[in-house]
Amino acid sequence: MLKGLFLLLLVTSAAYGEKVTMDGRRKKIVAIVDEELGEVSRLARQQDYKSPDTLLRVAELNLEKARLWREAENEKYLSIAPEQRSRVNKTDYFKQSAKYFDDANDSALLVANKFPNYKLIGEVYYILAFNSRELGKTIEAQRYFKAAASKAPEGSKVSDRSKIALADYYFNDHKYREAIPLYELGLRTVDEKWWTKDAFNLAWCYYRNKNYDKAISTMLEVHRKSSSDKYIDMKSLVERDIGVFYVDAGRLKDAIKFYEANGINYTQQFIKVANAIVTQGRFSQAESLLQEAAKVEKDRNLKVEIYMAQLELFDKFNKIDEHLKTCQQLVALNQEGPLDEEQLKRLSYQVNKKAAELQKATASGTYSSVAKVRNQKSQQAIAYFELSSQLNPSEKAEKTFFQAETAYAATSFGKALNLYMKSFDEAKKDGNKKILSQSLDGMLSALGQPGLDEKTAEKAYVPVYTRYLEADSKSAKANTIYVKLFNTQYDAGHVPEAEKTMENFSVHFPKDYKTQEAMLAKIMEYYRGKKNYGKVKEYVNDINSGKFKVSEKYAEALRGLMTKIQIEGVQESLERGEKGTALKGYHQIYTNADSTPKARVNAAYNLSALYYDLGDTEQSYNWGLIALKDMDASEVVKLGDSFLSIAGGLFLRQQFTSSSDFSFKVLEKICKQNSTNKPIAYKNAVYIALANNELDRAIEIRNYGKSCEIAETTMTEVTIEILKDMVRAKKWDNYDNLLAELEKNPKNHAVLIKPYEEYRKELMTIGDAAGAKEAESKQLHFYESAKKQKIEVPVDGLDVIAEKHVRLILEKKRKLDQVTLQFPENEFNTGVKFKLHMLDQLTKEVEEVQKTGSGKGIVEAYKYVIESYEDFGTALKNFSPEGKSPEYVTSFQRAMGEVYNPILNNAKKQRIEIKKLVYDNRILSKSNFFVLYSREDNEKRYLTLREVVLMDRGGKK
Amino acid sequence: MKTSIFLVLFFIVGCASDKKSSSLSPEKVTNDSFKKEKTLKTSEVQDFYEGNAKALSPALQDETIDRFNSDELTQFSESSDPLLQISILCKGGKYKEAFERAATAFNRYQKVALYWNMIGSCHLNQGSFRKALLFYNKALELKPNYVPALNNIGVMYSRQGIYQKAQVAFERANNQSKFAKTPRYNLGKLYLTYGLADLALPIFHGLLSTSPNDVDLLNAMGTCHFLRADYKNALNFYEQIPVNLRKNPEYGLNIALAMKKANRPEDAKKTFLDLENPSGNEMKRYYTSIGKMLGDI
Repeated sequence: MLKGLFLLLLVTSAAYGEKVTMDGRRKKIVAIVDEELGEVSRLARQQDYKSPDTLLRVAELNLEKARLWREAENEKYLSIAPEQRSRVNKTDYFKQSAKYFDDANDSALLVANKFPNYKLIGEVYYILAFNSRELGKTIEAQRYFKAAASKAPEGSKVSDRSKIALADYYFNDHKYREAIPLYELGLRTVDEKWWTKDAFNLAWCYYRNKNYDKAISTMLEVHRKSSSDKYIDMKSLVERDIGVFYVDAGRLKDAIKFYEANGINYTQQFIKVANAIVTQGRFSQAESLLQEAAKVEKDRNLKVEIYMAQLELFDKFNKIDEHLKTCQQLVALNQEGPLDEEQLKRLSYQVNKKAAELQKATASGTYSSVAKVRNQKSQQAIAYFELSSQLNPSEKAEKTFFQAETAYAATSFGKALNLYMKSFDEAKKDGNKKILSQSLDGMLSALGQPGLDEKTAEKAYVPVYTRYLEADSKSAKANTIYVKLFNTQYDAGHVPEAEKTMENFSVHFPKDYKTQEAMLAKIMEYYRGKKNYGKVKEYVNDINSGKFKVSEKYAEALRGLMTKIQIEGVQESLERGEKGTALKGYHQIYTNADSTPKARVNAAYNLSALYYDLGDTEQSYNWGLIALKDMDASEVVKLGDSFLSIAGGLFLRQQFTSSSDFSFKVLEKICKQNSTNKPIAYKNAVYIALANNELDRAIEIRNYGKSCEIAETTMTEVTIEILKDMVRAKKWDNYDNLLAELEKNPKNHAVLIKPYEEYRKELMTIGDAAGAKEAESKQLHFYESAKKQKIEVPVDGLDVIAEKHVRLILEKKRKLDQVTLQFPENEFNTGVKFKLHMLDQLTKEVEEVQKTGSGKGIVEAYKYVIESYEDFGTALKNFSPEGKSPEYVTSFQRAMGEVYNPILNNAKKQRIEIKKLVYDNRILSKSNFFVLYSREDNEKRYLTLREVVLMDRGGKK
Repeated sequence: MKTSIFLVLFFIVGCASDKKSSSLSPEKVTNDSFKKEKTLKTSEVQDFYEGNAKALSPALQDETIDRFNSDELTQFSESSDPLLQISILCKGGKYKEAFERAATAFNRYQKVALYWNMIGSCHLNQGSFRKALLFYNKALELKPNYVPALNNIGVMYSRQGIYQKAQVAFERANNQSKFAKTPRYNLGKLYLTYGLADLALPIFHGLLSTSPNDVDLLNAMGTCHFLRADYKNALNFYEQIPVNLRKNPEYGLNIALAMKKANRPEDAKKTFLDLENPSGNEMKRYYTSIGKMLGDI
C-alpha cells in the first residue's frame, strides 16, 4: 500500500515536473483516485477510523486529488486577464483544491493524533509537511519535515527526503551551516533525479561557509552526474557557478581547465560569474575575472560582452577611469561593427550617464577649490561626451557643446573656446539653431573671461567672431563683434581680412557711419603707411560712390588724407632739402586733375614759399594769392604767421605794392575770423600802402577794416597816419569825415588837436572862416576833454593850443603898439596907463601858455611880452614932449625914469627866465634867437645848406 | 607808427643764392637753385668805414659818407665792400641800380642791421620817409638801439621839419653811444640852428679835437662863439676855414659880421664883397640882413 502511495506521489511529482496539463488526462487520474478514494473511505468508515493504514491512504488520495485540482484551478486563475485578476478573490478560485488538501490533512492529522506510535508515523508527518509546504505554511511544513525526519527510520527515503526538504528551507533561509549536514545525510542515500539539484545547493552551502574545495568537488560531482539522464541536468548552473567558486578558491587555472575540459568558452563563463558576483558586491573578483577574460578573448562578441560586464562593474563601483577606458573600447568596437541594439543602448546609457554626472560634478561648487580634481572630472566628462557623440553622430553638435560647457565650468576657457567653435560648426552642418546660438554665447562668454590667457584669446578672436557673424550679422551685438573682429584682424596685420570684415559691416550696418569711419581710417592709414596710394584712392572712390557711408565731416577728413598723400612725397623731398624737386612736385600737384582742392591749395601755398625762398617774389606773390583765394579762412588763420611772413618778405624785397596787397588779401580772408594776425595784416596793408604813396589804396583798406571788427585803437592809429599823409598830399576829401569818425570817441580827442589844426588852416586858406572857427572850437574842446580825462596831449597838440594863446598875446601886443605916446599930458598919461594895463594882460596870457607846457609856445609868448616891455620901456625912455621947455623935459624924463626903468628891468628879468627855460628844456623854437640874444644881436643865425648827416655805420668809436 | 608790426620772422630760414626777382620757369629750377649762400650776422660785417679819406669834412668819415662830395667819393670806387657801393649809388641818386644791387646782397646781408639801415637811407634820400622808417626799424629789430638807425630816424624827422622828434632821436642815439660822432654832430647842428650855442659848443669842441681841420666843425665852433658875441674866438675858428671856402655865404656871412664886430671893418667888407651869391630864400634873407648890419662898412 505504502509502496503504491509513494509510487503515486513520485508519479505525481514527475507529472508535475513534466507539467501535465491535459484536462482529459487529469480527469482520468482524478477518476482513478476517486475510485480508490471511495473504496478506502468506505473501508475507513468500516474500520471506524481505527486503522492508521487506511486513514493514511485516505490522506494520500485526497492529497493527490487536491494537487490535481490545484493544477486545474491554477490554470484557470492564470487565464484571467491580469487587470481583472487583481480584482478577484483568489481563494474563490482555489476552493476545491483547498477542500481536498484539508481532507488529506484531516486524515493525516487523525492518524498522527490517534496513533502517535504508528509505525509509519514518519510518512504521515511527511504528508503533513508536504501539504503544509504546498499550502505555503512554511513553519508548519518545517515542523512536520523535522518530525518526519526523526520519526521515519534512519536511512529511510522519507527520513532522507525530509532532511533534504529541511535543508532546502535552511538553504533558502541562508542557514547554510544548518543545511549542510541535512543535505549530506539526505544525499547519502537518496540517489535519484533531484540529487544533482540538492547537491548543487549543498555545494553552495559549502561555498557560503568558505569551504571552497568541498564546494568545488561537490559542484564537479553535480556536473558529472548531470551528464546522466537519471539526474536533473544542472550542468549549466554548475558551469555558471563553479567559476565563482574557483575564483574565490584562488584556483582560476583549475577553473580554466574545467571549462576547457568541458569544451566551454571560459571567458563566457567568467562573464557570467563576474555578473553574478558583482551582485554580491564582490567587485575585485569580478574585475579580475573580466580582466582575465578580456586578456585572452578574441571573439568580438565576447569581447563586447566582457566590456559590457566591465562597464556595469565599473559603473557600480565608480571606477571612472576604467569605465571610460571600457567605454572607449566599446565605442571603438562599435565603430568597427555595430553593437547589437541592447548593447548599444546600454553603452549609450552608461556613456551619457557618466558624462552628465561628471559634468554636473564639474559645474558644482564641490570641486571649485580643488582645481586638479575638477579638471580631471571635466576631462573625463569631455571624453564621455566625445564618445557619446561618436555613438550618436546626429547629436554631435549637442555633445560637443556639452563638452564646451564642461570645459567652461572647469574654467578651461581656451579648451571651451575650441569646443564651442566645434559645436558651432557641427550645429551649422546640422542646422541646429539652438546649439548654434548657445555655442555663440558660450564662445563670447569664454572669450571674455579674465582667466583666459592672452595668447589663446588672441588666437581665438578671429575664429570666434567670424563664427558669430556667420550666425548673426545684424544685431547690436553683431555690430560690436564686427568691430572686434576688424580690430583683431587689423592688429594682427591681416589687413585683407579686416577689409572684408569692413565691407560686410558696411553691408549690414550701412547707417553706422561712425564705425565705418573708424574702420576706414585704420585701413586707409595702413595703406598710406605702405605708400599704397592707389588703394587709398580706391577707398576714397568707394566712399564717393556710396559704397561706404561716412559723415560729411569724415569725408572731409578723407579728402584731407588724400591731400596729405598727394603732398606727402613732395613734402618728403622738401624735408630732404630737395627743394627743386619739391617745387616741380607742387606744380604737378597743382595742375593734376586728380588733385583734391586742398592738395592744390597746399601746393599753391608751398609754391609761394618756395618761390620766395628762391627769391622769385613775383611767383611767390602770385602763388600766395592763389593759396589765399582757395584756402579756407580757418586754415589761413592757422597759417597766418607764414602768410604774413611772405607779405613781410615781399616788403623787404622792395615789393611794396605786392606786399601791401598780400597783407590785404590775408585780411580779407580772415576778416571774420578771430586771429591775432588780423590787426597785423590790417596795419601792414595800410602802412605799406602809405609807404608806397598809395594813399587812396590805404584809405580803401582802412575802410575795409571796419567790416572786420578791427579794434578801435588800431583803427584810430591807422587813421591818424592816413590823415598825416592826406595833409602832405593836400587831399582834403573825406578828411573831415575821418576826423568826425575818430572824434566820436572822447579818448581820441587828444590826438585829434593837431589833425584838426591842419584842417582848420586849410579851411582858412579856402576862406571858410566859419568852418575854421568851428574847427578851432573843437580843438579847444578836445584839449579840455583830454585834460579832464587825464589823457596826455601830444606835443604837436600842445603847440597848437599854445599857439592860440600866443595869437591872443599878439593881438594884445598889436593893440598896445597901436597906442602912440604923445602930449598933451593927459593923453600921454592915458596912453601909458593903457599900455601898462596891456602889459599886465600880456603877462597873464604868458601864464596861460605856460600852463599848456608847449616849449615852442612859451618861448613865443615870452618873445612878444619881452618885446612889448622893451618897446614900451624904450619908448618911455626916449619920449621927449614937444614944445616944452628944457626944464620941463628934463624934469619929465627924470620922472619917467621911475616908470621905464622897472619896465626894462622886468624885460631883462624875463629874458633871464626864458633863457634858463630854453636851455634847461633844450627847446627848439624859432624865437630862441630873440629871447636868447640882445635886440641888436638877434638877427644872427647859423645857416647851412648842409643838413643833418645820415649815419651809414656804427663807426670805429 | 608802431614799428613792431614788421617784426615777423621769416618762416624760411636762409635764402637762395642771389637771384633777381624775375620769374623762373619751374623746369629750370633745380635743387641747386636753392643752394644757400652764407647769411651773415650783424657781428660778422664790418660796421665802419676804413681808409684815410681825403676830405674837407673828415670828422665822421668812419661812420658816414654822407658829407663827402662826389669827387671825394671816387676814392671808394675800388672798394670791394658791396654795401659801400650801394650807399654810394644811393647817395648819387642812382636808386634803381642801388636797389638792384641791394637785392643781390639780400640773402647774404638780410640779418645784418647795417644793410637795412642802408636800405632805409636809400629810401630817405628818395624822399620816402615812411619806407625809410620801416627799414630803419628793421635794422633796429635785428640790433636794438642800433645807433646809425636811431640817428637816421632823427635825420628823417629833420628832413620832414619835425625837429623836436629829430632832437629826441639824436639824443637817444647819442645816449646809446657817447662815442658815436654823427648823432653828436647832428645834435650840435640842431642846437646851433636854434641858437642854443651853449649846448652846441662842447659838442663841436669835442668833435673838433678828433678832426681839427674839418671845415664844418670849424664853422660850427666859430658860429657858437659868434652867437655868444665872442667874436675874437669866433674868428679864431672861422679863419681856419680855407679862404676859398669863405666865399660860401654859409661861412662868409657870419665871418664878415664877426670881423665887423671885432673891429676889422676892412676885412669884413672884403669878406662880404667876396661872397658868392647866396642860394635859397633863407640864405638870401640872411644875406640882406647881414648886409644891413654891415651897412656902414
